[in-house]
Amino acid sequence: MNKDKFIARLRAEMGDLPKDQLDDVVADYEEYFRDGEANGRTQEEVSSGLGDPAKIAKELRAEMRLQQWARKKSVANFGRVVLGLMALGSLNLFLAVPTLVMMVMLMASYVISVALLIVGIVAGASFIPGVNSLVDFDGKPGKTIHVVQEKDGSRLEFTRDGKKSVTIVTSEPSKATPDKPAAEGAPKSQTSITIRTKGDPDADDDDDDDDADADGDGGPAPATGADKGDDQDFDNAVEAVFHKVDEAEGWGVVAAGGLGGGALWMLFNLWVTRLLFRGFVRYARLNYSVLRGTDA
Amino acid sequence: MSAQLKKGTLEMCVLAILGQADAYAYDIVSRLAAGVEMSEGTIYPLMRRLQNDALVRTYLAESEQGPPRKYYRLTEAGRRELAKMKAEWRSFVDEVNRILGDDHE
Repeated sequence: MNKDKFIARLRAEMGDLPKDQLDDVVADYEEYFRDGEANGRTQEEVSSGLGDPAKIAKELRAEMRLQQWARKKSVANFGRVVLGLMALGSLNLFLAVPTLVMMVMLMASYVISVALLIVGIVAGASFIPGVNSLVDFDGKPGKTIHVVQEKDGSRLEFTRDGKKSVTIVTSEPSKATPDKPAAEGAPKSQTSITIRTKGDPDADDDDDDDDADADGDGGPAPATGADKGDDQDFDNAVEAVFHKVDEAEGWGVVAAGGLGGGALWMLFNLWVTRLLFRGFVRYARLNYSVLRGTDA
Repeated sequence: MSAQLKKGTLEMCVLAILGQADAYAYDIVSRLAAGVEMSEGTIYPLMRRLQNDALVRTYLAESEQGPPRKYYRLTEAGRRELAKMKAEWRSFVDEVNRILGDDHE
């Protein structure tokens, strides 16, 4: 076999490699022929020394696939490594069965973590609409909270506005119209407490309006009480509201647990997958060294 | 030298040759061929593997005949690997010699 024939066969056997890599391989062997001839050998002698182009191509391709895998760890490249090994005949049934079992177990583990994530998302979704009647996040959560609690006609509103003021309004049902909801009937009495942080632009209705003082004063927020009604009723209503808020937070815990647990599990899966891939690449390298030895 | 013994030593021998001086593929093979028989065609897969493991790197240099040649040079990691292999090899050979023993006694 002369040089041109050898190169042509090598090219044909390398087949599916990207062009630049193929050219690189061909350049290597062309250089080898040049050096061989410069040392007084014929092309036939050099090509018989080099051996079967098909065999060289298989080894080179497997090696270059490993190289690709090392450079960029993608599923496609991993597939190429497996294909390369199969072409070399070194991936046998003996290894294939445990690999398959591992793959199935890993797949199941992925399914569980995804299910956990879905539970978290569903709980989170039911948390948010559930809150709509209880806690109204208008805009960003934690900025403005509006809670409305209604029980036996009494009504309590809890509003926290942008961390600057907290308003709690309670109202009792009108005795004249016991059938109608309290919101529709004219409230008999109303309790309203507004707590505002000093310096709140909305807080300039009542007493001190001294902004210069407000800037310097880091003290506790002053409370402005008005129309103090029945203390016991008010306390009960406040408790009920906070109970509802707790309930909503319970859903939040489920949501956070699902999402957090699912995410952690997913990370664990990725870690195991990575270990498996590494183990596989090691196995592949072992095969190469064995093959290279028997080849010589 | 039997095929089994050659398996593990080919890589070390190539690294050792490059430890003395940078070389191109044909040069490496002809220096190996004196003591270690090998299929010449496997030199490139082997060099690619060493490159892949970052033990060697390549550069192009002018040659008297035709286009530039691809030279191989040991990296720092390659030097460390060679030193490690040499130490392992020597302790292995010493151990085998100790067991074979009788020639020295």
